[in-house]
Amino acid sequence: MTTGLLFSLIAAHFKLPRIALYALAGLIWSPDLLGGVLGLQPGPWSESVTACALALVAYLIGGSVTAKQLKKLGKTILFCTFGEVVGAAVFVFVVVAFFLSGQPDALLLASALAVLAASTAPAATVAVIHEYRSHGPLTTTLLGVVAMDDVVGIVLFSLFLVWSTGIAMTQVFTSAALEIGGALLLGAVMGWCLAFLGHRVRNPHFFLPMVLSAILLSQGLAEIGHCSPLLTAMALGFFARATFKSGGERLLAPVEYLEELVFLVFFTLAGAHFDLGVLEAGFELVVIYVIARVMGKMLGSNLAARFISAPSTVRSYLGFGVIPQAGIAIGLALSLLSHPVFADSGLLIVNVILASTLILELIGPFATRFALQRAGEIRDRP
Amino acid sequence: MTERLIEQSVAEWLEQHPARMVLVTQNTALVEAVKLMLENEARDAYVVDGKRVNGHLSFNKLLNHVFTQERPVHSHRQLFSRIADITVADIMDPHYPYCRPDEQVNAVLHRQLQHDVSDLIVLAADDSPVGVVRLTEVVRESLQ
Repeated sequence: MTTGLLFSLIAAHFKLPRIALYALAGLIWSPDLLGGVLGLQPGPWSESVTACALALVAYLIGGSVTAKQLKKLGKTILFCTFGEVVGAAVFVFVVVAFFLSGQPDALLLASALAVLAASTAPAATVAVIHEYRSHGPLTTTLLGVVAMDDVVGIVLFSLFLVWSTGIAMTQVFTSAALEIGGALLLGAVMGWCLAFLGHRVRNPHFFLPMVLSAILLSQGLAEIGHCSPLLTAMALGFFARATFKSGGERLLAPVEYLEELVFLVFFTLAGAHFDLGVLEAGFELVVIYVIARVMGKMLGSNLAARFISAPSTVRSYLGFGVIPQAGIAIGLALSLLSHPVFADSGLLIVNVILASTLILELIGPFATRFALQRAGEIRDRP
Repeated sequence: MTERLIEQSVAEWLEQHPARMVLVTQNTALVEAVKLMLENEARDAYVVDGKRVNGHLSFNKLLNHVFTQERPVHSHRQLFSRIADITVADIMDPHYPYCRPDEQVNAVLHRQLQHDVSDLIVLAADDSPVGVVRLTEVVRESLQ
């Protein structure tokens, strides 16, 4: 993390993409480089750190939207989000399953990559929209979609974990109902408790400890009650804000300051898990995953936009704007390492997601700019 | 001068330093609230429902939402509020510091600094707003 922090200064000075340098900082300590020389290995502690960091992100995403705002988003954003998420997931699943057919764990690997393909990186898209001062139907839809698909991505991933860690098909449905229903119930109760505390705590210095305690306690209770930890954290954020009935400044703002730390943790840890041998063996998989994800997002968003008769610019160019992939996908991939089901394939998934993230983060801004230009929404080019 | 402030009640202070308070209703658009604050040189506004104060808005918090499109980095919360047109009721803080007319001004000063509120609202016994204690005025007076 210290290396990552130092590298972020270099990134800021030379205006380089900071996430690439975070990953590079982790990579230096990977077993193939200094980690191997010094005998350092990311230990079990990294699983707890990843779990806590993911819980923070899920809490923030859950608390970022209210039911009233969801209603205001409109059909175009909701349908297009659904379309690009399902398009990417289905395309990646089919293509990867076909590519790996005959290999053990092919379906599991294809499913994992499919759900990880759902989320995008809002930061890259927002930066391009800001740089070119774009404005119009495509810009608005794009902002809505990149905000929403992280919500859908986390829900999909949680459902996937329930399915993949189920012991038998007969147990899957029972355990799914318990894990999902229990998570929503636990999140709602904890959210109410957090809002109750939020109404009573007056000293601003206690806001951060109060929220962190609630998140960590919810994770512990979720583990004891066999509930989905990510859904619990998301429900906690959503219900806390809904019960608090305001912008949720005191419940969300203190944790928002930690978001950059969370991404620093994700990328450096992912870099530290870099394995040249694994990546070499899975290089074709990286290429296939990148192509399938991009095509799935484009086709899915196009079909969804056609279905609801969205403006032609949205139909034609939305897919170009949802290409970036970043922190959340990395964090979710890292969390798979702690599940015994992914003992054999976890490292490959992390390496594929890390490599593809770097590629997609490079392509993404150019594709977004192309889409906004073709849609005629760039008014004031710098 | 500090001693004079200690002896002075908030009610006396309001008579000598009548600052205009900015009151908005729950459905007020963010930009309108900002304009009102600028017109009154205020850094804080209060959301009212009839005679009852429901929440507080700070100038910086409002600007954070009004000028989201001018910022290259958004949190998820800012992204959603940028797309779904929000009103002051969506971002107000229902918990705000306040004072009563019979309190001493020096006690109020600590509350303003602790909560980072420039225009502290004064509530009467029936909780209706009767004025604001402006931090800049308190500081100006105490430094004379």
